[in-house]
Amino acid sequence: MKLTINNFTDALLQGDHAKSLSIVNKWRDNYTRFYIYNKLITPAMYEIGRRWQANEISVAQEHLATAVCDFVLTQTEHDLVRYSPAPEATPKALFFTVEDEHHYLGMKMVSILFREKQWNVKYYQSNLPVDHVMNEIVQWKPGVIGLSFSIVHRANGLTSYLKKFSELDYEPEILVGGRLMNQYDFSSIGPPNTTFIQNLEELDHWFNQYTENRRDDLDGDKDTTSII
Amino acid sequence: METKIPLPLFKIDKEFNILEFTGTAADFFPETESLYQIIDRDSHTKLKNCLINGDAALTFEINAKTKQEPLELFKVFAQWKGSEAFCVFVPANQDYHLVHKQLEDLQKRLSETNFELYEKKEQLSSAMDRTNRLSGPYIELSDTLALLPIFGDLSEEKIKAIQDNAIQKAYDNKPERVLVDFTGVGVVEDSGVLQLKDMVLVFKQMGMDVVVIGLSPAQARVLKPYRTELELDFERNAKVSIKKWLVKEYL
Repeated sequence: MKLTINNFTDALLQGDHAKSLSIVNKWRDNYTRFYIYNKLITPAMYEIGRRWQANEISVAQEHLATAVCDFVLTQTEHDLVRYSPAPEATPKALFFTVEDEHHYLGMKMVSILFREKQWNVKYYQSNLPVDHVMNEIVQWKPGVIGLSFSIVHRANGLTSYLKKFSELDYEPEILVGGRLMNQYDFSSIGPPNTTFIQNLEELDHWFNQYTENRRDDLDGDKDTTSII
Repeated sequence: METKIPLPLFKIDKEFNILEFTGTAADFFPETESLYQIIDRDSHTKLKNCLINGDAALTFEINAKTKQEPLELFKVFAQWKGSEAFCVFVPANQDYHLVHKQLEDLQKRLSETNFELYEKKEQLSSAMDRTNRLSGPYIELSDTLALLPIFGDLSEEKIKAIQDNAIQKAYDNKPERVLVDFTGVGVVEDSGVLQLKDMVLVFKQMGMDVVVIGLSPAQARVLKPYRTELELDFERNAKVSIKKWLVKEYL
């Protein structure tokens, strides 16, 4: 069996669960989740988008591929479920895609990567009304809120989300991601604690910054020190 | 151009300016001069590539802005005639949306089931562990005699689960002899025998004799190859051996 991105893309488009999963599992023998998400799954999904643009596949095939990819992602998360933190364990992160947004795979990958780093993660897939999200945030008080959107005409919606976040009685870190971050500059509309994430590499960079900045807090929490 | 056709139809020129359109087109889309304006921004390149580089007659999918929806999927059938093209916009079938919705629900259920299965597996293994720990109670019969009945199949996990408790109790009570009762044991696994051997060795090192009682013929056959390694005493059944050791003690 060939393990290239192209083979994986074809397996997704054919709806071949078993083959897609076994390709990912083979990669998993040698690579980290981050590497696989960044170098296999993301390029494959971009390739599928390109094929639709080139009129090679239909939206129905695209949806099928998304469903298979979702299944594969869920499997890569499986061994992380063992670590299930208490509801109030910190650090907490909440991820969701904006209302009516069906491009959720990116957000799902991000939420799994946070979980891998032993964050207490809540992840809401597709179609959660704004009020529900806000209620959850007010009650659970996550330190990081991540959202993503991929469709241009929802950019206005983003502004209203960000406005709502700035009205919270505490200051969470806000991460905004999605395909459009590549093409448009949204940096003017976010409050100061907002970071726009274009791709998984930027997320990794953000992680390192975050850990660096919060090292003293983390040391305090764990009763360890980084001085010695 | 016939404007009564019951589908949105546009006649456009090379620059994609709309020259004519049907009544249905006016019902579906806001009135504009350029085809670009009813097509989603992300689909512009596709529209251009398909219409300009494609064959004379072609079919493709495109996202368009309608009066009702900011984004709706259409299948476009287009044909060039000289410098003009006819484009029919067929809305993606409602059935398709329904199927999409159902697919999504299914996915959600699958991932929930996945986690539920995992949780059940965890519950099951903790229940198994608990059962194992409870299936080898240490019972004090007298100052010199203790009984360790084993219940269920004799596996490595089972002996591991019961030995800590048994050895600790035996250490506290210091009997001369421990009777390991096999009456309640079903299948004897080889790995279980090896683990049993380790446990017996610990008892011996604490100065206690171990006597296995109540073996069934099938179990006896499995244990036979280990007979010398186990260095055990065997007795026929609980009644005989308990009588023997207790009578010895009290007479």
